[in-house]
Amino acid sequence: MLDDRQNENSHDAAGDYRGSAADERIDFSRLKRLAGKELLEILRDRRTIVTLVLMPLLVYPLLGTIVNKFMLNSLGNLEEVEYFIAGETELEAAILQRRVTVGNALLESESGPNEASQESEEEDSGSAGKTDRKRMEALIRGKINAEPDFNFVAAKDGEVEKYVGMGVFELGVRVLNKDVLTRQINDFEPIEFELIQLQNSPASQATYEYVSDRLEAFNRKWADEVFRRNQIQMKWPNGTRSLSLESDDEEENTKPSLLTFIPLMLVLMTMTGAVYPAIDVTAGERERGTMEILMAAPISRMALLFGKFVAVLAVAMLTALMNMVAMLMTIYTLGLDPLIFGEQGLSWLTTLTIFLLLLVFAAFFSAVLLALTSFARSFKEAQAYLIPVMLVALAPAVLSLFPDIQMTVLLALVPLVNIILLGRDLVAGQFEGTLIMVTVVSTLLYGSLALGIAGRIFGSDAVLSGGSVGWSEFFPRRDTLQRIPSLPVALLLLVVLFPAFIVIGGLATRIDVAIQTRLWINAVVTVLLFVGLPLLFCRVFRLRIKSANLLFAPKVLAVVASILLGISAWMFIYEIEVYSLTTKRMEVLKEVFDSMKVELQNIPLPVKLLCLAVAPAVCEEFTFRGFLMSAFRRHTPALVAIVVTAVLFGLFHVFVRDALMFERLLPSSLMGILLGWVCLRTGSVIPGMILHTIHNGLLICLAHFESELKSIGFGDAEQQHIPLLWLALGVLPLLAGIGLMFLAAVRSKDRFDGPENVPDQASP
Amino acid sequence: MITVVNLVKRFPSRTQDVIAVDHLTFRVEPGEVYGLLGPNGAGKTTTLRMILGLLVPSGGMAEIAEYRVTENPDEVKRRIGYASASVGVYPWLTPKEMLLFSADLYNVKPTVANRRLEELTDLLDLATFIHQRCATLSTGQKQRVNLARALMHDPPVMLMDEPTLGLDIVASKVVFDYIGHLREQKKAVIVCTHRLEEAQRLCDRFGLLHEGKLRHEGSLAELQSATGQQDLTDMFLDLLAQDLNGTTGPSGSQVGRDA
Repeated sequence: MLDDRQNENSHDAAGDYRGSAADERIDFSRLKRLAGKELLEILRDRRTIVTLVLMPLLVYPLLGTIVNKFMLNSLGNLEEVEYFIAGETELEAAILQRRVTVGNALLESESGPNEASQESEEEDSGSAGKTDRKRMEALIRGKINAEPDFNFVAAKDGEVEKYVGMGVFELGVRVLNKDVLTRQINDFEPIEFELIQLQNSPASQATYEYVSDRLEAFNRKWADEVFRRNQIQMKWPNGTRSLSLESDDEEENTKPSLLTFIPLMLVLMTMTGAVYPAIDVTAGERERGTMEILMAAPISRMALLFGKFVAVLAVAMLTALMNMVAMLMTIYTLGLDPLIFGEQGLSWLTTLTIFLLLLVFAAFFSAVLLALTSFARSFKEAQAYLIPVMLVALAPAVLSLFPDIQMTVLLALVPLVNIILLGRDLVAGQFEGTLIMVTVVSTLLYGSLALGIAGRIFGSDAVLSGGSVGWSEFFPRRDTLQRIPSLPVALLLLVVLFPAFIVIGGLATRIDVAIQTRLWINAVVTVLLFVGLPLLFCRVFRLRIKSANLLFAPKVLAVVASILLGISAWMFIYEIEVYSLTTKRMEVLKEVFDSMKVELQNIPLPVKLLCLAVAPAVCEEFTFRGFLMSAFRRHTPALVAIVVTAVLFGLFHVFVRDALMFERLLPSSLMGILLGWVCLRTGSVIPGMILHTIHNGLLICLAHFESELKSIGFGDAEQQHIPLLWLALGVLPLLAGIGLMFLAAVRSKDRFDGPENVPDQASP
Repeated sequence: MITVVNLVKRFPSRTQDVIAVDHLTFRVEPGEVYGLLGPNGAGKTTTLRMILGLLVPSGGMAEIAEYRVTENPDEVKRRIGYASASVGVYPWLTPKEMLLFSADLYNVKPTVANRRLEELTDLLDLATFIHQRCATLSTGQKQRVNLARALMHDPPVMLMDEPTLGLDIVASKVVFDYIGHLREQKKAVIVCTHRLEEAQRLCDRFGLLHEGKLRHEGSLAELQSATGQQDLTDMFLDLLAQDLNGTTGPSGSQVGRDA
């Protein structure tokens, strides 16, 4: 055995391995190399190149041509429609035709040449392609009512009513004063026409209107002529003039929109781009027999999977980029751009935003794919899993094509639908910051969860031995309690918490009750979400409540230190916030807070303290520095754990009621970093709760006693900054607090490290 | 270097649990080549997988350089090289890329990795095809790449599972030379195989595994005196015959999922 040790030492000294401590940290250059290898492998595969390059190059021009042809054909069809007007006799039909023709000429001279004739003029002068484009544009916008041909014929055996009733003719005509038919008549001879139409037939109705409008125009002309001849200055009692306006309200939006097709198409193509690489890097490893190489190596599955994820994402984004380029090129070459993007066209900024949106979606979808394909043992099996998923994914995607579906907060939480709707709204240039934020955050959360699950499944023990992987993988056995939640469980908590927070938080603000009741409702919601959910997760996933949420009794020193930090830290965080804001935004915020102050003025201080200071502080700490911190700390280095929980903490503070306050991101995240540091130092969530409560409580007290403070010379409503004296005084407790925190530190190894599945003996 | 004590693997099944490895105990010292021998399904691969940390043992323990597999899996994996005929290659990568990737898996510094690559290229004569895609390599060439891969991180322990499976005489000779090299380098080696005549030439000590149980263990001379047979094949035939006659009493265990 001595020999063994010497051998070991010589290896370590030679630098052939790095120590285990190095493995704890994320080695980015290694991750880069791992991802690079995966990408190299995927890109060398010809099948990838086909989906990546050839597909978009073929699909879009083809699709564009089809759309083009289809539209022109439908335009042609409209023009080819023929309507028949049948007279009882040939003569009657001829008389009506004569008068309608004159009426038509009169109408045209009244309203100027209509657009149909304008079209034909252009057709003579312009190139054919240009006319096609104009026609199509007009068709899309409904500018031309392509006019059908009206044919005047005689009904067989004079049975007008019979044939109109059968729908053979659109309109029947009968002259009632038959005597005129027997003699020579001029254009102004009074004739009584009976027009026979079919009820509920749009064609018949249209023909009726066509004829009656022209006869009316004829009558008007005749009246004018009579008055002119008799030198009577005449004005019609009901002069009308038509003025048609292009509608700009929802009516336009209810038309099926080509706009939705663009994000839908891009999303679908991004999906197809990711499928093959995802299968290749997971199930493919098993099929090639290389999985054992990976599993026998001292590298975390998560690191391996992350490399694969980056590679799949890169290919998905390359596909997205190729598709975007090919699609836009097709649209511009075929001249479809004004139809789709409107007069102003598509800006670079919008294009970039859509690309970023696709990046978010591709990240999500790649993670989902990896989770699914990690289950599979072969290409075939992976494909069998993916087909239903693609079909399921298509359903909401197609649903989002319905133009009357508006983006809402709720839909912004639904994966895939949110991206497509947001993409549509982005292209149309109408979107809301909150919805973008909700979409991006929720999609990224779902994606991280999927990646966490994938990391758990990929190459797991059961798969290697040929068994099947089930969901039992995620649920530890009944008789053991785990100490610390795993990363996928923590991500699942976030995935549940985030939508619940948005939806329930939104609902709570809509209830129309007194302000005090609302405060109580908010407090209850906060407790349910931020304490109830983690506790529920502890129960479902068999976690020991005390260790999973870091509910350890802190040292007395830690409590003192957190009190000191609580009374001092807020000033500095506030100052940082003030410096990071523009004056304009500052005024807006001041208005918001002033109105809140007025609202809250009459609420008793204890209620405010309980609902706005204690409840949020304690509950938020429970989730962020308890459940989430313990999970992140187990799997990531301390710094990563602190920053990730702090940014999540900051993000939750950005959503205020149904608005976004990005200003809160920085100060809240900074506060989160301080709280995270305190949590890791003390190994407990309780000092953070104390710090957080004092922090919130002080701010509320300051607002409550504003007038009193002002009367004794502290503070000024117009003053933005904290008095220098306060800051100077605040430095002392801040430094003292930080110093004491170092003294109060516990060995975090005892709390956060430790084998994954050791059953907790102490608990029942 | 390698210590296995009372190692058990039980696969749960609906009717009766299948015991693939039944209280296995043995040691392998540095510079020693240990042949873990047995027919198909004897539990050889399952044992290797447990030592590698790919399967969780149902009982007992395995240690590499005093690191327990269940407690310090990464420390154990870092010290093991694994070569098997069933292990594949990445068809779209070149051997060079694949070997450097393997070095990355073991967190070998790039400079060290490049040096190792040169050494192993010489040792296993990879130079002619090191820049070719692995998909275009012959079976023997692929196996050479795999042998090189297992040594990229210069592990003190080497586990080899049926290393000559599907190889012709020339390619098998490469494997034999490789094992000789490992012995010179003072590596502790376990070779699993069912080719007994091969093992007899290669290994210093032997463990005869049958139905998950270690039936005989020792050097060839020790085995010969214990069994009264001259070569390994006859020893195994004896074992099988005994089981059929029921003289030693069947262990009651069934053949596990040994591939």
